Amino acid sequence: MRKPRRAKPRKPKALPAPPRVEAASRGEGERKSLGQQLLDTIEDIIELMEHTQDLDRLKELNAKRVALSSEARRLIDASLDTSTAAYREAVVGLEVASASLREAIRGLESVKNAILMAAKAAALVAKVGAAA
Amino acid sequence: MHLVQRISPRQDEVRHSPWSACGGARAVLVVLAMLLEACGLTVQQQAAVGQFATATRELATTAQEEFRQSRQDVIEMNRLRLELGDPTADVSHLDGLLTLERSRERIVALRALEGYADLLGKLVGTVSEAELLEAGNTFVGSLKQVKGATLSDQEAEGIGRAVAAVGGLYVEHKRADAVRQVVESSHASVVAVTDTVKRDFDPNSDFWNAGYRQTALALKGHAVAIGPVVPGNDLASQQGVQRAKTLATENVARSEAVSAQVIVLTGALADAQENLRLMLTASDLNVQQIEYLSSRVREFQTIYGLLRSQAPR
Repeated sequence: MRKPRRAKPRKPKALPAPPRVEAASRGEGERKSLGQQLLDTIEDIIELMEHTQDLDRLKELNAKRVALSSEARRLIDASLDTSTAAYREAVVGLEVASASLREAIRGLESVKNAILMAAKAAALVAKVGAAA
Repeated sequence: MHLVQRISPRQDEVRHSPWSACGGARAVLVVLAMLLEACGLTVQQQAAVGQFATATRELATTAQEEFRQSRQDVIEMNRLRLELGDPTADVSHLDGLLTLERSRERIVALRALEGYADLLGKLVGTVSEAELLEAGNTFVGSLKQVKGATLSDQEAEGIGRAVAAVGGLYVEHKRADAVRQVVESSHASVVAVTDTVKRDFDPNSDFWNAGYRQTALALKGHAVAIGPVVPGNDLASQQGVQRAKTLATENVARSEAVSAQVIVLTGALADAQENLRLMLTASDLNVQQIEYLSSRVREFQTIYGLLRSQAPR
């Protein structure tokens, strides 16, 4: 569903500012909002679910997906204070979880560990959601 | 003396001519008309305002259509989740995060933008006094309902007065005054509306676009979760699972394509609005941004028609 992620771009050498048209593409390079980062992580969980043969692991992954999806419902269209430490920690937690999930999809990390990271991220997001 | 003698008879003729008073008045009127025309909009300015109005109206109506269609998509995806037995799908909230209230806010804002374009179009076109006044009232009324719009009562009155002053007379300087007044007084509100639309379609923000994506992922996630446990001989369920995955993928891909276009267009509209403001006050005529907006909107109409399977308007 998601476009393949690009490698982290190098800092450009004093290039002229891109025209407004270019800025419309999906925001690689920009830090995403918590809700969109959360949706990215959910997308990564779904992708890992598609690769998982073990039904127990599939159930665990699905439980995390459902929990994160429920948090997403609370965060989207809510007025959040993006400057709080909790918000930043949640975004970073989700980025780490997504990285772990993608490693698991490539078979470079265990699914169990990816689930653990997703659970940690979910706890951080829940803190922000509770304050929303 | 000689000169006086030669001139005198002519002066006498003028003094006693029955046309003298009328001729003087005519001359004054001609000079006045020339002065008034000079304060009016040039042909190029009128064309640019008309072009801006058409593009803005088309963009506003298409964006309204997309808000309605995307809400319908969410309802359809949530229905499918229920059919597939998703326990987290809520039959009483089929529209998910794209609620009626959230949709209404957006449609109201875009209607105000449409009203703005309509009024500008009428101010540079030829319509009756009644139509013009109605367009002015509709625009001011709809703008006052927009959440976050900053039109003060004084500005609203100013627009009303300027439009009423044009009346059916179409005196060029009155028309120009009204266009300037409408553009200037509405500027902050127009920018606020375009910012809201842009934010809603921004793939990095947590608004409309995120609500849509959340439902699509919930549908796909459930389909992926139940896929392996659907019995091999239950072809109907297998088909349902496959349909859910396809629908979610298709909808997200279309939403991304439409969002990318809308973001470009709202940026172009904001630039063109600024350009229009400058163009109406400065003698320097630069309609580049307006022409860019106009061509992009036409392109978008075609793309949107294809994505939503509609004939381009």
